[in-house]
Amino acid sequence: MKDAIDRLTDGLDETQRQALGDLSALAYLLESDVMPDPGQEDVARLLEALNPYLPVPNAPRPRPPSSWLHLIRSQFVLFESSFWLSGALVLLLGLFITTIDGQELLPLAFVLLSPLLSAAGVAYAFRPETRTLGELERLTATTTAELLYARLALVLAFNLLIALLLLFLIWLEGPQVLLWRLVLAWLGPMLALTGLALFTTVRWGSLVSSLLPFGLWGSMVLLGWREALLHHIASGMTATSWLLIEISRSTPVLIGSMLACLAGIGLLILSGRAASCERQSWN
Amino acid sequence: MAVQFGGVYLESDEQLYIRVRGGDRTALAGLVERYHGPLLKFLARMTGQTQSAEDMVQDTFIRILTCRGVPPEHFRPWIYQIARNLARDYFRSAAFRRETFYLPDEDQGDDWMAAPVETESLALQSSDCVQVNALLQCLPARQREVILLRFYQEFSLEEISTITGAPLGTVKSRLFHGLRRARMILEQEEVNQDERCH
Repeated sequence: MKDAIDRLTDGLDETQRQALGDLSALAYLLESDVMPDPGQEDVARLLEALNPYLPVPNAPRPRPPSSWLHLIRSQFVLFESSFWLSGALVLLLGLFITTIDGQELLPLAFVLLSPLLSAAGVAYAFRPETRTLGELERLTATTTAELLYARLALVLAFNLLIALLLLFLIWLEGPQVLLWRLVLAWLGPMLALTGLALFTTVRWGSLVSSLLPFGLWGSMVLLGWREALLHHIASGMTATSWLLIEISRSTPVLIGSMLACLAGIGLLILSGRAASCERQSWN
Repeated sequence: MAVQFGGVYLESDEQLYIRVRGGDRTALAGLVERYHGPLLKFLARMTGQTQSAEDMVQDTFIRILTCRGVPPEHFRPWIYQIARNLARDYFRSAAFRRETFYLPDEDQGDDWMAAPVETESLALQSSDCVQVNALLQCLPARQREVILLRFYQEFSLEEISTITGAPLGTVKSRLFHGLRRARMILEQEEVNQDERCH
């Protein structure tokens, strides 16, 4: 009985407890009120009544291909003429190099410049000016990750087009390089830098996404050039020739490119996941 | 935080509710199993009407299922807050006013309260359960809810303050006045019974 009285008066001041006097009769009466629990049938009936209100699980619905094309086309307007012009400029540079010394310089320029073009494209496509109206966007059926991939597809498609044209020029010139290895030596850094640029954009904004991939790639180019300068005299070749042969025939470069491909794909997937969780978005 | 029960780790109410929001039927069954009975008893004692209490329990669960806000940090006080608000709406409803001949003039500001039962009627109740129900209905609803939440649901006064939205001092005051009033009614009832016997 004392427990029941304590349960009633717990938390009251001592003066209030004293003023209330003996509550044993009240506590006894309240405790005597034992209501039965609802039966299994009642529980089942309630659950049946609640079923229509149960939220529908958020199962991801596959987007039809036509819808993807529509989405990509809607993102087209974000790319101003400067983006297309910069790509065209790289292509023109390739053509110019071909006229000077296509046999050696063009493949090298292709491997060095194309990844940078992709990373720059990503930094451009996800620049701060395009990151507004996040609240509104979260209310629409198109998810942030879908927008991210649609815009990325545009960047990669444009760069692929330029890369194919440059490869065609290289093939016409016919230098002593294995074309498939050259493609891999381009694809690895291109995917890795694009993935890095995208991931850093999603996580830390466009400033980091501009500095980190460019800095990383710049350092690698400088180190590669330093190696070329150290070794080309011993091999009796020019520095560019030595570097080109290394790129197209060296096993470590081949393995490194493959690993870079995997790392790039991983970063692209991670970027999609990070974009789904983040508070900002791309309109 | 998971709760240990009989050596088995059970999911906390909050974890279950997050799963319910994801459309998990099993989690909903778990929450219903935990709260159907306690809510029904609370609302039945609060309103004195078992049928209305059952409807309100269903409405409480519908509200938590259709809620689109941020999941609550503490589920138990939250679900009781919803149930308590539904009981308040019930007391303000036209149906209740019709049944109890409730007049708007009796409403003292926001002080919603059930029309008190005449104390003499307590003597006519045969079983203890019915007598408790009659006694509770004699108390103003604000005092009744504090006593119910404290005695039967074993909420702390701080939690009751959160559920009712009243300051802690007010909750203490309601508990004190409610208990004093209930005690006086019981004493009066004993006197009445003695007089009837003589």
